[in-house]
Amino acid sequence: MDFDLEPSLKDLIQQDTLKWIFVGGKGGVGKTTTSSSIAVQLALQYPNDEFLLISTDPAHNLSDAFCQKFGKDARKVEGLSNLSCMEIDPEAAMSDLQQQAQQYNNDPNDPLKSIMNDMTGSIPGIDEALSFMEVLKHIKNQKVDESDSKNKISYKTIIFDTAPTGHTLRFLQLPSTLQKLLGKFQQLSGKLGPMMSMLGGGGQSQQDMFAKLNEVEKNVTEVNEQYTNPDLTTFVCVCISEFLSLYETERMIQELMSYKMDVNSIVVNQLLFADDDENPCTRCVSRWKMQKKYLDQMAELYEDYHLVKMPLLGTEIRGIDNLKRFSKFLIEPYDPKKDGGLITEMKEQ
Amino acid sequence: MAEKVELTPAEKQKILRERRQAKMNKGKATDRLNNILSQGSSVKTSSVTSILDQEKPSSTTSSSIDQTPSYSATIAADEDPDHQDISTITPSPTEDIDTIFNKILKQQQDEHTESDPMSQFMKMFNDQQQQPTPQPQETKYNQEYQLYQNYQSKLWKFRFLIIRISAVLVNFGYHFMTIPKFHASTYINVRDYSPTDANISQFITLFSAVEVVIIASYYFICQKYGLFHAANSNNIILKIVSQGAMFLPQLKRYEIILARVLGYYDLIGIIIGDLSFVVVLFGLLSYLN
Repeated sequence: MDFDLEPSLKDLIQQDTLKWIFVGGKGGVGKTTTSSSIAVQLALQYPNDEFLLISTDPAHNLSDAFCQKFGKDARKVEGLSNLSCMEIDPEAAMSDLQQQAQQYNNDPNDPLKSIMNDMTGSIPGIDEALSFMEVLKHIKNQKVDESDSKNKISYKTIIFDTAPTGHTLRFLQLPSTLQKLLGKFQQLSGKLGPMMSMLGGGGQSQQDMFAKLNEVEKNVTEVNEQYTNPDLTTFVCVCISEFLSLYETERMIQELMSYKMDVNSIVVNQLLFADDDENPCTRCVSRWKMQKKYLDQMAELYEDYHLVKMPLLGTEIRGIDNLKRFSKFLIEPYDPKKDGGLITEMKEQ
Repeated sequence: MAEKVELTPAEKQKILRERRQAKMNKGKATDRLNNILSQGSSVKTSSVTSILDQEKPSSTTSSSIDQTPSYSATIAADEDPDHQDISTITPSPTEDIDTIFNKILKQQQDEHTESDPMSQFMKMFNDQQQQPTPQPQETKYNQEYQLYQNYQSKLWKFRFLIIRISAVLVNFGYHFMTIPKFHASTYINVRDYSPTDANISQFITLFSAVEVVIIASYYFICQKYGLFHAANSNNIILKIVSQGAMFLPQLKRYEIILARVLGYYDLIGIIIGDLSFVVVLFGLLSYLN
């Protein structure tokens, strides 16, 4: 049985059931541009639905990509009212967390409180954990009903512009790891109950804490189920046509498979398409030859994936207008003969 | 010629997923990585193992797998599994809780820093659970120390008893000698014959002052030598409350209050005892009169 797999993300954009789209890859390959482009295309395809683009990379770039300042709260993109962006700020989220913790323990002299404050700021992976907590919040917000405030938005799809590969894989490990942790904690809570009350200061606050943990565990389980459901979640790998990127992409795909996460699309950025240049540059020709070698390898390795080839333009892709023009190549494959003019036509914003 | 079959997008996606999964099974994932390395790496590295193959050490080696770098675009129909049970492929390791913690928290261990606070925190819990059982000599020492503390408590009580009795007798005797017609009676008309110029209230003033001194001294000495704690450790009520606190943590609060009350009970006992002695002396006096 043979399929013609389109070298585009048309199937992804038109798939109505997706709730979570992760965009990830090695550093500097164009994740932010790709995630922004996917978000823009989704917003254009479904003008009556709301979409959210979240950056979980501590070195945020969304503001630069859209030429608009974003923060830890979702803000609408100027020029595309059904798309919002958010840059998770670990420090602000951490202080929110500490403020929430105070409702369980107001004692300023409690040694456990100061230990927790020191620990939570220095734990590796805390950025990913905070991003994940934002995900949990949105899981809750998905369940909007009539009694909720009209300001509560339920997003059709949430797109994640992730950090470079290692961070993202840690982030994706969190649901199943947290699920096991919380389950273990509940088993231990009976044994450690008296000691915990000694540290936490009382029966009622301890019960509140356990109730909160139960709620978190339920949400984490739900997230884990959603992440491993291919109808709800997919991961788009972004790479460039070079050895290191190819190897990293393959490793990432295999690791994502071990987490049971669906990967069916790969975007290859920064391609030169130098064959049809009128006045070919020697360097570009040489580099394009190198890129073609890896493209051929990718074509063999990823014949069951949507392999989308995106061009390297003459300028940075910034601003909503440029993103709209560039992002259409995710849907209609780039044709150097037809679309080659865009390389120099696109104006910097 | 390749056959084109009209399928729904969902069916197409499902088949593609199964194909992708099949290509990663049985050591093929490792082969893919090594193939990429062999073609592109500038350094001759030893072969790597894919994460998908790491959990299955008994998986087949590459001997039966095609080593050619090119993958055929067409796949024979009999290689496609009809229904792929993914649960048998993707591992679900059961990991120890400490390993899970290390995975989350120690992704990139810094060699120059001390162990992270979370592991220290867990160590604290582990230490509490793994406290060593006391040696027999230690138990014997504790028992002997407890006996010694009890002996000290009784000794000081005895000493203070002597002092109290002496003080009351001296106070009583002094006023008996100095105040003429110092007598007591149950009859009010006899008591009315008491001399009006006598300073009767001096007795109770002196008694109160001496009591305050005795009680303060007793409290100071018991605190200094930990005799209150020794006495409380033998108290049955405190033992019951302490056992109950393991099941009802709220009782811990009351245990502290109860220990304090038992300490004050000793002091109150001194006052009541001395007052009782004074009452007995006046009773004897009235009987003799």
